[in-house]
Amino acid sequence: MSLLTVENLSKHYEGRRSLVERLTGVPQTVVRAVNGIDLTVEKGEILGLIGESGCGKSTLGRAILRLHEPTTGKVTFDGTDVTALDAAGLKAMRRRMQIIFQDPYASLNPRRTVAQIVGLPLKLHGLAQTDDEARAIVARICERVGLKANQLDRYPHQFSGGQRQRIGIARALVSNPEFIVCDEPVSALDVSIQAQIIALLLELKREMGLTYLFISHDISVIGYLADRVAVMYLGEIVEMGPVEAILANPRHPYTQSLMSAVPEVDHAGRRARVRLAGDLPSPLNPPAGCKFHTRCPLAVEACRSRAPVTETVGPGHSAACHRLAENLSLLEGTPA
Amino acid sequence: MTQTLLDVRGLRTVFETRAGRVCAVDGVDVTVQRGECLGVVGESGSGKSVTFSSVMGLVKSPGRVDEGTISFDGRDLRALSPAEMRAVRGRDIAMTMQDALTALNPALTVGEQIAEVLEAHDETLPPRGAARRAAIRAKSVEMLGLVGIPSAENRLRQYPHEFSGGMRQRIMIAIALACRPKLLIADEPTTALDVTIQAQVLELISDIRARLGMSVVLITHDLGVVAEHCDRVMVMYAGQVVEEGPTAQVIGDPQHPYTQGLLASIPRPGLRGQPIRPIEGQVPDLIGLAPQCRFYSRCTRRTDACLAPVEMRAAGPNRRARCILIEEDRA
Amino acid sequence: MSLTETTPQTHAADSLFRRNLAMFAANRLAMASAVVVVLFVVMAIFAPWIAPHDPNETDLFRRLQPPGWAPGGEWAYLLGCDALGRDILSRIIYGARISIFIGLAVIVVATMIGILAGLASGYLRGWVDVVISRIVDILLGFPYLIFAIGLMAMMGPGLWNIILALAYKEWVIPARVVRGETLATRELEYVEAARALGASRWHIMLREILPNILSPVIVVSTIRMAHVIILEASLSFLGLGVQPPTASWGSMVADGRAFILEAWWVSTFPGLAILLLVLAINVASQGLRDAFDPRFAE
Repeated sequence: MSLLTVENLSKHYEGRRSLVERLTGVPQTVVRAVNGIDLTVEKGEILGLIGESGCGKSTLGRAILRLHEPTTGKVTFDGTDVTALDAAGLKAMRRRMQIIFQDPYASLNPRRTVAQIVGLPLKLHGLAQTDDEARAIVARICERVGLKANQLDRYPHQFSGGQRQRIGIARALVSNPEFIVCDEPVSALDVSIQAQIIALLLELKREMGLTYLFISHDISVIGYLADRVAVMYLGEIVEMGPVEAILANPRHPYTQSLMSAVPEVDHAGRRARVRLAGDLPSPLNPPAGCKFHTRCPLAVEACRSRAPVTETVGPGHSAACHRLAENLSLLEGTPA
Repeated sequence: MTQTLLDVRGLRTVFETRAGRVCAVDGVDVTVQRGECLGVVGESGSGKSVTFSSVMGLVKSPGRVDEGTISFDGRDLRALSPAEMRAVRGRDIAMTMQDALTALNPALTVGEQIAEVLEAHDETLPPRGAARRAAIRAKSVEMLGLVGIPSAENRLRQYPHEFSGGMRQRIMIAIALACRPKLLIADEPTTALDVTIQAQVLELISDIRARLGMSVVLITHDLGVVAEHCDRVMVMYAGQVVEEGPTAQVIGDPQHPYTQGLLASIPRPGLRGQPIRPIEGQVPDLIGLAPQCRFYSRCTRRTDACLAPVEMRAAGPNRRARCILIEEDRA
Repeated sequence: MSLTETTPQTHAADSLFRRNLAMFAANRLAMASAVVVVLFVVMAIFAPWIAPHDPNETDLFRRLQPPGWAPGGEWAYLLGCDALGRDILSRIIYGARISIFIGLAVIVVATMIGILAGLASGYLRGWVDVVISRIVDILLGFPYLIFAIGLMAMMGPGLWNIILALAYKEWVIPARVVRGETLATRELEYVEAARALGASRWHIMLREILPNILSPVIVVSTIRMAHVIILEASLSFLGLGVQPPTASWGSMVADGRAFILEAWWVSTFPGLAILLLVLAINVASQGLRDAFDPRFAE
């Protein structure tokens, strides 16, 4: 059984209407930030969730943890229906499901010391009998993530971005969780520091038997560390599958264009790439039919009117596109 | 006319802070040839942005250019008066910022902002009256067309917030290019953008460079961007240049341990399953630096000889690097 | 371009608080004003030892005696005497107790209520926010003094009633500040992190958000304290304040009204005391604001 199962999960935000607008029948605006997502995460794997800003990937991660209450859908973690939990049950579940944030500056309370920040979960869940015991646990996890014992009583502003991200990781791991949502944990960091944090996250996963939902906009990072990949566009998953399959044989035109857009050091000189027309459409007013059709070089009439259904295209590999059967590829040199 | 457009020698820019003197740029040499694209790579604190704001004469207090010569197109920029420098900025050298939303004035339409630059610098315009306004308008439309903004006539009347992130970056480039500068300094032009939009903007810069024959300095932290778009690359670390040379050579065969470490630490699908080898430690504090190799504390190949000041050395034709290992390797 | 690229991150060994304090100390005018405020407070606390005479001791032989330096004055009664022959200096010293006590009490009560209301309103949102925000809007619609006069007329005069009458409305000021700051802070990731860790609403409001928004609240409260002191003086001037014979600056000014032409000192000196204290608090609190509220730092 999967560790985490997400079924038909949606998170819609309703726009604000004034009383006058309500009475005069101005329609309610709805942003479908996350729309009918199905996915599973197996114990011990890393599921990479990739997409551009505004595609709803962070909202999905937060909706799974009920940091943002889902509008509809069901999240099952280790046999427990998370979406049905009451306040006490949810609090107990928080010990097992954690999150690491993108911004190492905003995610730490500036008025708390490292020991207080990292020790908070122990206090909230009563995981340490005495203060001394709590301090010892905090010191141990901080040392494991690469902080020094004499830094425990310092404040966040006394640390660099990379060190702060280590504090955030220690906070997420101190309660011995099983599942972590990593929400762009390395996007705000310098290249050399990024590599340190990625290496640390992979080591910790091995040592503690963790499972990650790794959210990123960087296909290089996802391609390096994920076992499986889900590609999101405007609140929906357009393609999902084993990382090797996605990298070698991406089937959705959006995945293909995403991959061709990434500048890589291994490809010196310019190469031909898929040109996507225009920008991401407004999620307030998404295109009808296939949401990608406004930018898709392969769009045909059917794409404008009907939303494609998700089809299996290989072992564990699925995509949602009307033209899958034609086996088209936008990428040069890729077998069509 | 020589081939060299920009020639910076021994640039030193310091910031006097409460905690002490920060030498953000220390002895940096830069040359940019006509028509060339130079990539400047470095992490935060490497001094890559400060180097070029020094060239532009835009270092903010408490910072100041302390030493060095900046020669552009045969003129010594440091000897210019503020008024003369203003004339150079925008007309001869233009700069685009990372964050287009804050770099554009939210209270003025895009058309007004392009017109401002033309008013200030363009001497080919008719002196006054309707002819001048018409000429400015025609040029503005032409610029927006050049950076690929459709229906330019209408969009001139819109405000920056009415454009998406990628479009704003294009507008900033349009404003920068309005007077056909000889040098465009693009400071992290795509860092705030999504990959698919980033690809559009970078191709745009490359295309315009080829069409207008100008030189471009691309400041970035992304070696991938440099690999695809730059002729030459300059790697900076802690206020100094540590390596420079033709892009393909520097990336294919890096000489400085920092460049090597940087390349090894980029995660990419090709490295799947192999442990990533990050550069351990952090960039040193720029206050009170010891006169030694600045990469010493993080270098895996350090020796006691690195504790003396290290100068740039030739590492092959057109290549230089700041490491004592180079002569040993080649000797 | 920005300094963030060049300023090393680990250099702020001194705490933010100390840096702010140093900034405040560097502002000489604010520093001098703070000293004046402290002197007033010391004067109030040690009034029985500082005051040369009993403030309520009447002596009809000294009725409207001029200040010490004026003809007919006595140096022992430095600022002269009032219509009942009481020493004005002593009454000002004792009056400081009333002004400062009421000012402090009102601000403390109002700030506490305001913080709770603002936090609940800004963090919980929903109907709590609607109810609290409406009450705040309604209270803001009343003219302050008329509101307080009405309340005093209903409750009757007296020290505690003044504090109640003023705090009744004063809390809306910190409540609005706290609500705004809370709305901004609740979106920060460290608040979300605390929620993700299973923290309760109380924990988040009081332990995560409050410490980070306290500086602007304290700054606003000190500025408002000057305002409250003036309101107390106004109420006392109108006879709705502290009852005689207790000395209050407002009632002292009122007492001297009838003799303003022949005995100007009776009203003028307590008036000057109000002016000096309020001015000092205002200047000092603006210095505090500049130093502690980063938005005014430049």
